[in-house]
Amino acid sequence: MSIVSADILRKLIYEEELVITPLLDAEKQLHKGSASIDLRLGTRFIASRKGQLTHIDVTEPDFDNKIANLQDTYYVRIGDFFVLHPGHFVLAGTLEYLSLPSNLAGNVITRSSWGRYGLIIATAIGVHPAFKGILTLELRNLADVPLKLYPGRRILQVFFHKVEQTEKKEFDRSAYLISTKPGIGKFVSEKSEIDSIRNFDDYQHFPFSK
Amino acid sequence: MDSARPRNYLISSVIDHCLAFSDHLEPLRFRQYASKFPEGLLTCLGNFNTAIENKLGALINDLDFQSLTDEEAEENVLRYSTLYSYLYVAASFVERSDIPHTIVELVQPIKRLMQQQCQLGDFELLLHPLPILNYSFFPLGALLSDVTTQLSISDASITFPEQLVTIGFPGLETERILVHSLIAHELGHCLYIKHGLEQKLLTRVKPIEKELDSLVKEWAATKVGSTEAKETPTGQHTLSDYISQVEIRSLVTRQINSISKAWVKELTCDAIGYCLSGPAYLFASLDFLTLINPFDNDLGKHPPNRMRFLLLYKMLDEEKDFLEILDPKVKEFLDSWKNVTRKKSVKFSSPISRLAGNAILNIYQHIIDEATSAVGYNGLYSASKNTTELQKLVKRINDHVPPNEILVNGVFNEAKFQSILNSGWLVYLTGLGELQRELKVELWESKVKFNELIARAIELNEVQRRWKEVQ
Repeated sequence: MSIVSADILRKLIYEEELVITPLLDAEKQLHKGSASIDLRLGTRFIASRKGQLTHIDVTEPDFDNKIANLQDTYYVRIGDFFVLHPGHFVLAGTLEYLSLPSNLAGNVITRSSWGRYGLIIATAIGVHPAFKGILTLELRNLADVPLKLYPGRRILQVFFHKVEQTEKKEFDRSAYLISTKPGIGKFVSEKSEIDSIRNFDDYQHFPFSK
Repeated sequence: MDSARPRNYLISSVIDHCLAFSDHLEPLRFRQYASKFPEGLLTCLGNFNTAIENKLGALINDLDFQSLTDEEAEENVLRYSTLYSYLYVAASFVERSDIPHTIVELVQPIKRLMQQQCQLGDFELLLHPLPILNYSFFPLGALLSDVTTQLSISDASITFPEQLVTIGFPGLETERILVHSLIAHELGHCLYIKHGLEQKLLTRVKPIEKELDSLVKEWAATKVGSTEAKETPTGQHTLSDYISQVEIRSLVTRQINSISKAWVKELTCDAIGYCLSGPAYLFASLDFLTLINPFDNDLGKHPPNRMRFLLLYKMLDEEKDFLEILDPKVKEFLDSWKNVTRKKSVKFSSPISRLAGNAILNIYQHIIDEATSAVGYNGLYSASKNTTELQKLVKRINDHVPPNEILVNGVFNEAKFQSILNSGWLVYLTGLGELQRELKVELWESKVKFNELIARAIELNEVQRRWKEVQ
């Protein structure tokens, strides 16, 4: 699979094949000759209410709702800032909303300038074909000094690559489709798998049932 | 008891309230708000509070004050303590307008609309939730400005612009961004005051004389018995009959004026709401007003819904190009309500409200004209003039992309704020079946998601505009 150049990305965006909105500064976000697009930090942050959160166990019934209610959401206006303390983990979103065509996928990484100050923005972000929504970022400060984060700053980049499809087909939609705010992890679609793991046991064991 | 003692206790008590107020303000400064305005207001309130505290503190050792009679001294202190209660009201509005409680996406676009397009350069807004299912408007600037003038607290160096307002919205419906198109009605109150529309319109309300005479005679007859019985042998009325009729006419006229004043204001604010937001205002009214008000019969200060919808449909009928582009489902929705609205004549709860109501129905065109003029050329939103933009935005929404911008001649342009709301309604009213299928969720969840998509578009749209301005 070849990585798509910034020039091709620009063409796709202006042909409305690929949506990345808003593109506040196309020149800066799509550098000529590069192979990625820079995206900006959004205005919402989610942090756990640690005083009430005892643990996270994704196998618990109604886990999603329980965890969702133990999160605090912060809205930070552009021009204002959010302080990420050393070791602190919060969720945030991209300012941009993305809509990918069915033949494009993406990989997200921290812009290296930020990475050098200890900021990690994503541990596992692959953007699948036909995805629509903002990207939820998993922010963590690995350095030993607090970092001021400003919504609207470019903090990540996405590399897009072509995906070969044999035919245009229905996609197995992501649980995060059409998300407009950062959100916690969802495991609803994995319920049967979680149940299998919970029931995983010896084939037969003592005491044997009669 | 020494007469100086209780007055000093009174001063001390008011100072305690001022100190408590000051303590209460402090943490509010650390909250986050949707604009800079609450922060500025808190500083003003703090300065104001300090000024009152200093004034009162100075009185304790003021020999002139101590020589006043008890009544004079009390009056002197009350001048300041009354002012304090207004500061308390203002602070409570700020307290409820912080980011977790307000509709953060709407604050800046509304400010932009009023400041730039409606030419109210000193417009500021606190948007706060209400514990009731309704919207409200409060002219905070006018109130504080009036109080400061009356009490001559000039040393606090505070001026409050007239167009500093608070708007309340139903708190449990914060996320239903499309319904909040109704906020345009509350903005209408602001323009109604600013442009003196009451004086312009009330003089045009003229109840039908014949009906008024007939009502007065009927009531006079009820009061003094049959008019025939009071006639002299020559068939003429007695003097007491005429006095009675004059009194009743005066009473009826006062009541008609009172109803007219309230209803003309509400209807004009509806017309302004439509001028500012376009058909989105009608859509939101049909969604919300039918829930809280009866379709017929009036409720005190508000005219019956039928009157309100007659006015709004009159305005919609002018949007011929817009009506051409409607999806059949939206057209059916609008037509069904239109048929209900026009099927019967307006029913009123009393003969007086009928007289006032019928007189107001005759000045609808004047109401629309004055509303249009108050909104101004730049503030006026015409759905008919924006059909291309609306169609492009509808397409974006149907592609599940926020309708914040459109591509025109190879350039992405910000959509109009009102077009975002209108395109949102145009898709919302088609039922959202496709979105529901896409998301594989219950219909309600898809409606929630849809409102979030529109809210996101409004937020991004404002970011784009502001970004260009600061470059």
